[in-house]
Amino acid sequence: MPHKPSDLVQGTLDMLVLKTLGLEPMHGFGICVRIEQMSRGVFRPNAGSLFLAIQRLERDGLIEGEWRPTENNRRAKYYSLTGKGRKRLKNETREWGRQVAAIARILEAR
Amino acid sequence: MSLLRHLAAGLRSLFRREQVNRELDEELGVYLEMAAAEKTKRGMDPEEAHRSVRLERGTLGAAREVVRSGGWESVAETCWQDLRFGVRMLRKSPGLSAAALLTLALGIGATTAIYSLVDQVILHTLPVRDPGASQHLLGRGVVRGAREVDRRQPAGAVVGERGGHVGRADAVRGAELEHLDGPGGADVVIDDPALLGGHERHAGHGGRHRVVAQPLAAFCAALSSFATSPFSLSPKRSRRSCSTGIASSGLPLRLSASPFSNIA
Repeated sequence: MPHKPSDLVQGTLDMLVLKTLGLEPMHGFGICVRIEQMSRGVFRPNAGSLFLAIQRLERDGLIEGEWRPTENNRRAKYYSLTGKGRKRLKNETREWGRQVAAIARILEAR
Repeated sequence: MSLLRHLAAGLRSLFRREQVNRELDEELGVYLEMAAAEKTKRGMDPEEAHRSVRLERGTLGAAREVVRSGGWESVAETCWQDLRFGVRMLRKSPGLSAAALLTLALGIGATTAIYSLVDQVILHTLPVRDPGASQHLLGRGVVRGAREVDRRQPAGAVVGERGGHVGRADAVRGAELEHLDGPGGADVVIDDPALLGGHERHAGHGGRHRVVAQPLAAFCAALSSFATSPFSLSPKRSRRSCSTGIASSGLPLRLSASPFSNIA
């Protein structure tokens, strides 16, 4: 039996959304699926927190949304990264790497 | 920029609520539907797929609430609702509301009045060089000349005035005053008691005038002045920050800070 999806580390969802949108513009569900796939099912953000993060990022000017028709003849809001968002993603990735390395060092100390 | 965008987005969802809600609902609806479609594609019964999506990802209503509570506008909206609720409650029992309002009004009014008094009488220094030594200005008189000695005062303090009117000063020993505003708003100058006491001439005394007189029961005088003209007390504030103690101050309540004018 597979593990239950775990909660995201506090404050990392924004970064993951940015990363996902850095690959290609996507709608909310696409972002969700991508995060699930890339984390191999470890993370599965629920609708509320995902769209809350999207709203926050949009208001911060890091991503922008646009209504477009989907393949099944419905319309969905596709989000893409802005220049500012790209820069933020780069910074956050670097900072995250630093923190993870530091935490790993602490945990491996003997 | 970011702040502006936040503001604009918040205002939009406050004032175009219908549209914003519709868009959000549509977005969330598409999301949940896509999730369900994904499951039916893998062979799940549509009904079962929807149920399972709701379990895994949350319902549309719950998600909508989460997203809407994220912006600053939800705080504003809550405040507005509270306010409306409050007003409704007040209107429900007008008697109690009126009583509360009246109590507040009286309380605030009384506090303000008392504080105005304390502020003027105690907290503000006078625009003179030595506020602690100054005294209340008493009485008024008319002098046809430049000045006159007040003979009823043992120390013989004298007040001269620019326009020829003269008041009488009960000024403190050693006080150095630059300028006094006399009764009726006229400019009054307290002259050197050494000179005045001897009825001598005071010409050539320049800008510094020394006053020697009997100290007054300062606070009583201050209060009586206050009672007659509660809001015209020393309109100009001293540049100094030290406050005068009520016991030591004589409170010349009509001191003015305008430059000294020579009486001669």
